[in-house]
Amino acid sequence: MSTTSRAIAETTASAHDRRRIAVAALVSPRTVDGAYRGDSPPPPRELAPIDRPGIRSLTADPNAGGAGRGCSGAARIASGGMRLKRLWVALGASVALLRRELPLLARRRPRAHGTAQGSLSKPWRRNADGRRTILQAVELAKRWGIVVEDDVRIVASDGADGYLDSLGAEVDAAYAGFTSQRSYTWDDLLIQGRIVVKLRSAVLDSDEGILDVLGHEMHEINALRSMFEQRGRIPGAELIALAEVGRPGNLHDQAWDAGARVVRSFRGGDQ
Amino acid sequence: MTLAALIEAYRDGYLTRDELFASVTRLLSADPGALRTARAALNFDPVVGSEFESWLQELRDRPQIILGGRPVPVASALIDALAAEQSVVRQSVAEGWVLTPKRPLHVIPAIDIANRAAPISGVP
Repeated sequence: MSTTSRAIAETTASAHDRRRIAVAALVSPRTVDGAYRGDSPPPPRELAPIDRPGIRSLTADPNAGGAGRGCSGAARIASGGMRLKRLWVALGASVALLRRELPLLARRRPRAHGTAQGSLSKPWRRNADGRRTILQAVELAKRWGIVVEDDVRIVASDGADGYLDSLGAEVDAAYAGFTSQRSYTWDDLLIQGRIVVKLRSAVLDSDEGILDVLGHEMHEINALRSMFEQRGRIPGAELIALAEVGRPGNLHDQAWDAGARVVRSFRGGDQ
Repeated sequence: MTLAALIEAYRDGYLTRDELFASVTRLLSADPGALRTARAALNFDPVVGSEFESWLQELRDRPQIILGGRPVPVASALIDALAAEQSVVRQSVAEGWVLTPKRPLHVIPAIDIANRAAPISGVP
């Protein structure tokens, strides 16, 4: 890959001070407030105490446990208290279990367009008037409400370098790499002060593609930026849980919806 | 994508350091025999070379790695190659080929390689 073979253009967007409002508009509250943890398991104390058979015996057998015949009054009261406590813990476990499982159940429903592992808006309509430049693509994205901050640099390649191809033929854009062995600051994601998004050149052939892909990538990046602003440093394992493909309900998955929403608006013409 | 192309992309400001290392890991998992070549190539910058040594040490714990959201496999053959190399280093130290290191342990493989390549000139 030579420098000349790669068409690189940079975003030169002017600064604006509505950043937080715009970020909040693009990022779900769960990610803004830092409470979001991808699909990592909930804290053990919510799930561990009682297994399902235990729950069934508590509710189905009135003579089970210490409340049966032969117990003293104090023992019965104590035993009843224990049962209530166990029931309370069991209910908590059930709620936690449902909370964890519901997104998976929801994901099993067939979706209208594609799957959560890829664009929900393909196929994209090609532009009648040809390919956009990076600058035009960024202007288009901003016109449709996508927040592209000044510290984002978008580079497009003609495909000859093979970087995106090495990640997969279906990969239209990529940024950053993480290992679970390390933790990261926002600065670790930057190259000379900017986060570099590699964009497949063919995406620039379609305004729908531009909005879909930039909507997706900026949703992720703006959410990560907010998290880094609040926490400073984030473990790599957590970033992987947020950004890895194939994890239903994580930030990457949500980002497909974000991109699809913009494309739907674009197709509907309700700018 | 070749090792040379990855390094050029890094030097051009196209990839972060961890993107570079993750990409090289992907290459090495497909071809663990390229370990020494990769080491030598990434030493174009001593800081990058040293960071890569740390990265290689961490690979032995089989971390999760993603690149552009896609998982990067860490092949068992690569782990085996790293372990074999480490045993050579231990043996070299035991036999007196390399002195007790003043540098961090993770630099020893590079020293060992340098010693074997140029035993007379020694290690800078």
